[in-house]
Amino acid sequence: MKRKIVLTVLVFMAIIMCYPIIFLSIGSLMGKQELIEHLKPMLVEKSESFITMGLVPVFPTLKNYVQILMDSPEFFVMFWNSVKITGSILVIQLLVGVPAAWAFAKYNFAGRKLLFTLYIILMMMPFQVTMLSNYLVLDYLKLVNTQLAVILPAGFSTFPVFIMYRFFSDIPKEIIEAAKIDGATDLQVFRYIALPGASAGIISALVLGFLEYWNLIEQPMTFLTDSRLWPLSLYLPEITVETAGNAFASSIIGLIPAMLVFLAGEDYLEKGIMASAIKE
Amino acid sequence: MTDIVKKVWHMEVKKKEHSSMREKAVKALAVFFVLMFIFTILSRAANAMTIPRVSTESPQKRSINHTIQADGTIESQDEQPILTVDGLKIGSVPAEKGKQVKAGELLLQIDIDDLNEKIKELELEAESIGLEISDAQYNRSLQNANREKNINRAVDNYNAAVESGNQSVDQAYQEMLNAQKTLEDYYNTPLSESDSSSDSSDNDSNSGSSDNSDQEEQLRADFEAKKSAYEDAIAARDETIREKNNAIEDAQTESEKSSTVENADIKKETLEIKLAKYKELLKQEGKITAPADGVITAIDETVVTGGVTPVTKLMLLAKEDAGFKFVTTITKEEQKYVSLGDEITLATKDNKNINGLTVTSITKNEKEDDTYEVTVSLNADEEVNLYDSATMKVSGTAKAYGTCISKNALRKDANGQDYVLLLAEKDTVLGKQLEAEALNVNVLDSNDTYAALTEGEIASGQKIVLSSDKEIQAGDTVRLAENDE
Repeated sequence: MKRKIVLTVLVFMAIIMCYPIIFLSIGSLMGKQELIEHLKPMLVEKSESFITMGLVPVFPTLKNYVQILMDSPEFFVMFWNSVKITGSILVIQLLVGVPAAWAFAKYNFAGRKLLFTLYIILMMMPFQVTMLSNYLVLDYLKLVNTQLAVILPAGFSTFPVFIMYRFFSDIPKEIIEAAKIDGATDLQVFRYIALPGASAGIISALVLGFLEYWNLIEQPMTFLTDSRLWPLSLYLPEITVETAGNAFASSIIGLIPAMLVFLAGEDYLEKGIMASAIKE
Repeated sequence: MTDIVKKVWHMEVKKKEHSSMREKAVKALAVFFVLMFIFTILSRAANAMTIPRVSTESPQKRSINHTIQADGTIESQDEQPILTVDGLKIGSVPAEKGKQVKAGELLLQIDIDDLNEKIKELELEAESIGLEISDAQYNRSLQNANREKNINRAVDNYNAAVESGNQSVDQAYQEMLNAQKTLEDYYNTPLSESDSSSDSSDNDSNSGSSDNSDQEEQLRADFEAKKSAYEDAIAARDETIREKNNAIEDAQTESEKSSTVENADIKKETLEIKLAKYKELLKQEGKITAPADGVITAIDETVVTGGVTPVTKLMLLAKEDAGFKFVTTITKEEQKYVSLGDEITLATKDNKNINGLTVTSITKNEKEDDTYEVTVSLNADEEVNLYDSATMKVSGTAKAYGTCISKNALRKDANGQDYVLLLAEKDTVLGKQLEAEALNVNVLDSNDTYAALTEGEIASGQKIVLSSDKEIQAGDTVRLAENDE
């Protein structure tokens, strides 16, 4: 009985958590008139009523999807911008973050602790705090209004280093020493012991990174003025009567890769989140 | 043992489940990206197909030359009406509209029987009118004789009245003179005679003087009476003379105001003219022939076999040797660029150009408002056929303008305002795209091909939409046609 009550509460909470997705899915299948009826309070100024959303569309239609997929080349420009930005960030993180995390985990060098503390402080700072300094540096480097303005700061983010550091730390010292005794170089140790040993951590960092950077809003809004460079998260920044259906459909399509990446990296993600929760 | 196996088994299954889910998710992700790539291309292609392709031009310095071109027909310079006496029955009509005829060729045959009948009728009518005239003449002579007689009688009466009046007056005058003389004699008698007589009768002196005055009174009264009678006689004579004179005047004016004879004469004369025409026609056996070589250009609609000849023309004959003229209609707008004497080129239907011709006349078309009829005389020796179609070309004087565009690029909005669509670059998500922007313009002059705008309205390098494969409006995204890029 107790179990059933808990289950009911959990299901109820799950529905509440999932409601935005349900809302989007239903809305994306509605026609223009039906959407206007439901969204009137949002579209009409000074309306005192609230937005409603039925559970099933009265006249279901795939028109919004067709319009997005077949008649909105702008959507794809932004979609591939998102792919480009996210992909570039993850590649930089792989190339820079992985060795950095390995170095922090296994090498003793002067200022290591200080540097790592600095990493953690930077990791904890929200974007709004570093925005101005970021902007000044990017402006100095003439990178404002280029996608590098979003890619570079994110690529050198400290968060994945922190997660991977945890996994690299867990690799037993003995194995590395054994390898070295067998004549392995540092690079070979990194390649054949560190990387396979911390693969779960690397993947979880990448999955977490993907989910974060796929949905970037503040950085592109701040650093990119040219709409040609915007990622998908900025598609249809203003929802009007005409664009409401498209906005719903584009949100659902934009959700798909994030969901698939989540499903693909679910196990690693759990480990990663767990690792990030353990204090040094 | 079983528990251990179960645990191991469950763990393996869970692992397997996770592993297959991961694989599926990765595969799905790959498929998703492939699909997105395909849709990217499809949406680009669809977009490319829906965006109108436009061809453009830039404004240029140009001369606006007004060449007026108008289609018309070749007509005859001289069209002669074929006439005959009206009211005759038509036997047959060999002539047809557009038929080429030679001089003397039969155009229309009058019904001979009907003609003979008409002649007979007319002759009888003429005869009847002749009789009417002689009757009227006899009556008129009788009237004249009576009048003469009345005048003579009135004159005689007048003379008699004058004579009798004069006699009465003379008589009264004589009597008045006598009375006057008697009175004067009385006054001239000496006083002694009177005294002696008074002495002799002294006693009766009083009675004697009273007798004298009575006599004088009597004589005076007598004289006055005679004088009055004389004046009355004059008045009576004058009155009688006036009356008799009036009677003469009355007799002179007494005449019947009648023009019966003259009318009948006119009628007879008209009949005789008509009769002469009928007889002339009869002499020609009722045949109406072409007076010259030419083409029948029109036949009255009443002129049909069995019909009756009309008062107006039977038909029109365009004389061959009279030469040709080209006739066309132009609009009021075109008329501004065509003047009398302008040199034109005439292109005939067999693609022959006749140069050196000039506009002979420009007249307002009464049947159709805002159009004008232009005539161009052709020489008689020009090798053209009557009613052939031809095209006239007139080139007016050219005027140079700084900003000229093709007429096709000029558009008109609902209020009649001229505007052009300019190409403007705009930044979009898809990159720099071209947008059609409307710009109102002022047209200074235009011909069929070009329009001149107020200078400076459009920059010389600015591209103007000339044509489009789809209907476009201001604000539409467009792209250049491939041969325009």
